[in-house]
Amino acid sequence: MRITTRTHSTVRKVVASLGVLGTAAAVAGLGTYGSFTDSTTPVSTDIGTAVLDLALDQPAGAAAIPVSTSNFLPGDSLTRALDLSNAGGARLSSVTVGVTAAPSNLLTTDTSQGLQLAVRWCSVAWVQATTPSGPTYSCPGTEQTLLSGPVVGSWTLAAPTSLTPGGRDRLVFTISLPSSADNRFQGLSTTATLTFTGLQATGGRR
Amino acid sequence: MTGIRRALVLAAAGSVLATVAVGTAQAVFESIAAQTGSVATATVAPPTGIAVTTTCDTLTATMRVSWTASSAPRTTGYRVTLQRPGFTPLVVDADAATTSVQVQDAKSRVDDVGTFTVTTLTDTSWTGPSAWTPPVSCP
Repeated sequence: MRITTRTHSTVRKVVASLGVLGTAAAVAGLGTYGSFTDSTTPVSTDIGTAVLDLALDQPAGAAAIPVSTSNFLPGDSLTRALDLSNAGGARLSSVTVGVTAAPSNLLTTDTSQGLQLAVRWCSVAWVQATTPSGPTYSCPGTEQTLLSGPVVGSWTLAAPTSLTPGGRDRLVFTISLPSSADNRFQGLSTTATLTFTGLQATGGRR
Repeated sequence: MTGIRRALVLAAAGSVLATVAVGTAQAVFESIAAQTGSVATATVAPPTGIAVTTTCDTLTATMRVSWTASSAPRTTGYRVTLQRPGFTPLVVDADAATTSVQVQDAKSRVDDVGTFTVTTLTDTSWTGPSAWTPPVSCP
């Protein structure tokens, strides 16, 4: 009984080995076949990349920017209009506003009594009025407050129009010193830089 | 079954790796626009030239405090404070047009120890205090 089983096992191994060798030979043979090809004239494709261009402009007739103010007192504020537009051909995924200030002092480090920033948005052009204490702005359309808080920080604008090429956001920004600012805030100065950053939207299939 | 599962797992892992590799290879471009603005806060100038003339009798000291008006904008008045060691300070307020006030106190409280300061008051929370005067002295 045992001898018969071994015989069958040996036969099976021989057959399997022959199978493997045959397959290997067939595969090797494939590499020796001739290959005939034909090709067409290449199709020429021009791909122009879009340009990212976030621009800040002053609306016509608006009070001058950049602005420099002195003798700022508690309760004082400074408001200016600014248009943010997507002047490029690319769609943006987000627009953030970052504000830095130098030198750093109580005006920028005290988040409750120091300088405060507010940015408001209007669906149409702001209407500017001139008063002895400076220009004021009213929105004849829909108005939204995009951000409000301590002057130094970073914010992402919620669905600005400038995400799309040609889009324009009509903004006014206000820098103010709270009435609660005490005598420690006298005689200080700082320069704030508002930086709008537009990030490219993810590319899609063409 | 185990073999099929293993193959599916390997395929999924390969797909994830491929996605990550593509993700890291993509460049993200940004466009930046900026504006600057400078703010300088005011300093409330204190009144200058504070002078105190004192006359005394046996029990009372009469002091006239005078000053030159502050140059600070939005000045609403002045606060004259007499500091008396061991006693509550004596305070007299004056309007923006006033440049002198008269203060009376017990001679024993102020002679050779009482000192004055005059503070500019504004329509904001900010003030501009002068330096303290030398102690008043009965002649």
